[in-house]
Amino acid sequence: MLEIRDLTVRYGDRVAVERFDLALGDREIVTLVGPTGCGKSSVLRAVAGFEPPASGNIVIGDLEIDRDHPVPPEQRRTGLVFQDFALFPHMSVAENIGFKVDDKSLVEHWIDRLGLADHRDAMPATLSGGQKQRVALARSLAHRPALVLLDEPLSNLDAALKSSLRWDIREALKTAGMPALWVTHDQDEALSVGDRVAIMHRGRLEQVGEPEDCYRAPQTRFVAQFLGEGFFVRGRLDGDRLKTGIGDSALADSAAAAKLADQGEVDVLIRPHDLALEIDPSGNAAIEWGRYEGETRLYAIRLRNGSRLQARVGHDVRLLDGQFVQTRIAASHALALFAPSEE
Amino acid sequence: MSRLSFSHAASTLIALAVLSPVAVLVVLALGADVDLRGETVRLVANTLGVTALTVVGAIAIGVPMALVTSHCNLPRRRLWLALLAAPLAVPSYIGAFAYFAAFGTGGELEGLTGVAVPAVRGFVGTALVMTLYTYPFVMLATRAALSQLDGRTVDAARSLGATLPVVLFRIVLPRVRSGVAGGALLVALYAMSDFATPAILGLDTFTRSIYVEYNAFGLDRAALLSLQLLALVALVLVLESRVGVEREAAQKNLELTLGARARATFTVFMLVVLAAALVLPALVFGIWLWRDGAGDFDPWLAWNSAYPALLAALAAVFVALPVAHAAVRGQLGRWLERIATLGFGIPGIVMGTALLYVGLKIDFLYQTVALLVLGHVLRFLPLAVGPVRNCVARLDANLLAAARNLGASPFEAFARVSVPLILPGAIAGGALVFLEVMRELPITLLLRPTGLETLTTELWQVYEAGYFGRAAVPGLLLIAISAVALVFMLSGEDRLATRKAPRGI
Repeated sequence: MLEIRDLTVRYGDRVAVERFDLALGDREIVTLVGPTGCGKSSVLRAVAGFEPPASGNIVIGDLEIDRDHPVPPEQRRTGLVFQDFALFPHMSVAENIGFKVDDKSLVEHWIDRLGLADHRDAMPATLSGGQKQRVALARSLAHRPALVLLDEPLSNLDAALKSSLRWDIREALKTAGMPALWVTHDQDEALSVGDRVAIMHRGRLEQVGEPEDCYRAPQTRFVAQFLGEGFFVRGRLDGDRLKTGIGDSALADSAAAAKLADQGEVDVLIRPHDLALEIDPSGNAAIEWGRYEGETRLYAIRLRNGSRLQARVGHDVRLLDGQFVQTRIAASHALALFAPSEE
Repeated sequence: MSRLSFSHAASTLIALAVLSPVAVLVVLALGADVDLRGETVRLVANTLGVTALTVVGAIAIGVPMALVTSHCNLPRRRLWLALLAAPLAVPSYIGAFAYFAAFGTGGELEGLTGVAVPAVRGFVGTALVMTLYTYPFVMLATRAALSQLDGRTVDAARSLGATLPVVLFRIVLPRVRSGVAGGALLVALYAMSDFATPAILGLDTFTRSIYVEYNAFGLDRAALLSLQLLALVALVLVLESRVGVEREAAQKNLELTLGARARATFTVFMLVVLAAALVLPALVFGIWLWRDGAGDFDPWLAWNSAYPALLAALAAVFVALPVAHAAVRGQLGRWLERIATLGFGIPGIVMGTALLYVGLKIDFLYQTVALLVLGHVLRFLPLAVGPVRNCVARLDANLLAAARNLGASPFEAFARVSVPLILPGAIAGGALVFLEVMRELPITLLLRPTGLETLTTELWQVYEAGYFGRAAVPGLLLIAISAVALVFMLSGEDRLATRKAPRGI
């Protein structure tokens, strides 16, 4: 439905997006995630037709767009949902949703579907943030776009609303069978709502894949640390085993291991819940501090070799500051490996 | 995304046009072969003196009124506030004319009551009349500053044992100093620029002398005096730009509880001010209407006032669009806007003198309505820029992008999104300019083509000729127009307030 090939976007001399490739399936939701300023919104604006590509091309359905064959935004049928909603302040909810819609039953359908019936005649200024977001989504969907583009749709809303509205939006998109490119800087949001996740950093695509793969098997250190808390521990490959100062583990994907095998040493990605702690006066680490989180406890630990890690364990594991513990890898899955950093 | 757009270019032209009167005056004054030293000293002393006295008077009335109408236990505060703000909308010549005619030997008050009353003329008279029509500047500015105050500090001071007067002078007033100063500087600007009041009440200030020189065909001397006055005005504008606004996060509104006697005193005070500023002029013009009737009134005067005002309003809005557009688009645009709106600081009589000379030099402008309209536009452009800019600011680039994204062509996006969003500001700004031009005197007096008499120039002619009775209808019409302007300004303020605070859920 959407194919972005080798896209580069420039603002003057500054390169915002560089050689970006991404394809979107017919009913697929892909989340595009990255830190502020990584170029993700520029990708969206280029697809919607508000930034001309410096090079590369964009295919939307039957439309093929590149620098020499521009297509104006109004002919692209990309339902862009703006970060600030961009509702027309002089039109009511129903008028906004029906801006260019001839078939008024579509307007009614999306008003009902997104629970806006009580607000149909309200003006945007009188709506809450969550309601504005629903109107913006309904407006895009009622115009029967070929695909939906969401530009940080939840970033202007408060936390409580975010988690529920996230599912409502996904649900609405899925029922409509609508492919969507969903930009966010929130990794939880990216991992939970996307069929696939694309991670961007400094204008480039770092990795694209199913959420679990990206989280478990990040291909770059950036992805590893952006998608969740993580620490790197020095390890050594020994046959089909991985040996570290805090225990052994089965090998990760053998391909990555094979590539790194001749290095001898590797860096292993450890996430806080990959570790288990046991009280042991002669253990390999000491507790620096602990923090109660409800279901879990988070401990900062200092290994005897001086490096620091964090471990997230069940709330019943209660340890005191300064207490010695034995720390070991308890992950049931294979760990992600990286070429050792030069330190 | 070009940073220098069409609107920047247009704004630059407009800014230059606003500055051109000053350039014209400089050229004109350079040719003046006159020694004004002695006269200048006298004019500076008169102008600054009457300005200072007016400022003192305006503070003495404005500050207590602000406190009483907004933060004390008085019934119907909103009504009092609206009434006390009303003198701001009354043109100075109405007040000055009324006081000129009402007081003194053979005045209307003596005729009405048979008691001899002293004349309101000269230095004190001018300051008194100006005070009556400028104190709302101080009142409104002080009120705005007071609304920022955190009322809990007053509670704290009371609980530490401070009495009400102590709280007032040590806790409340020191913190609204800059608000009072801001209002006082507006009063000073008005007092220096006002033409009609000193002219009618016979005090030789800069504005009056400029007109005298113009009448005596001493245009170069008028230009020189204009530049000297502009220097004083510039000083006030510089001071005004330096008055900072302190912001406190008001957790609780300031509330002062007055005793019964204090409430009665303040109520009498407010009634006296309203009687002096509003009732007396209405009464004087009403007496003339009752005595002389409306028979002599020429309806063409109203039309002659209206159509240049309408043209000026349209032109001002048209010109305000690029200025507003540039102003919401970055630092350069904001500077251009600031320059383009400097015209408000140029006294009408000065603007008139400069453009009169332009008319003498450029044949096709001489004695035309176009020149008159140009003078009004340069002076009143800020009134149009304000509301237009507020609306343009709402016109976020994303709204047009959204319209395009939903399938609208650029033209459709403009027609269905840009136009409806800017129109209210354009209408509001145009209406403000229209009402202001209708009531304007000095520019109209100097630049009107021969034979074009308006309501305001008619009033002026009547004053000069002494047939006061014929002033009744034009005067009352102008009072009515002022009332419309006031309602319009107040409702605009309300609309703005409701837009700022949407009913959130």
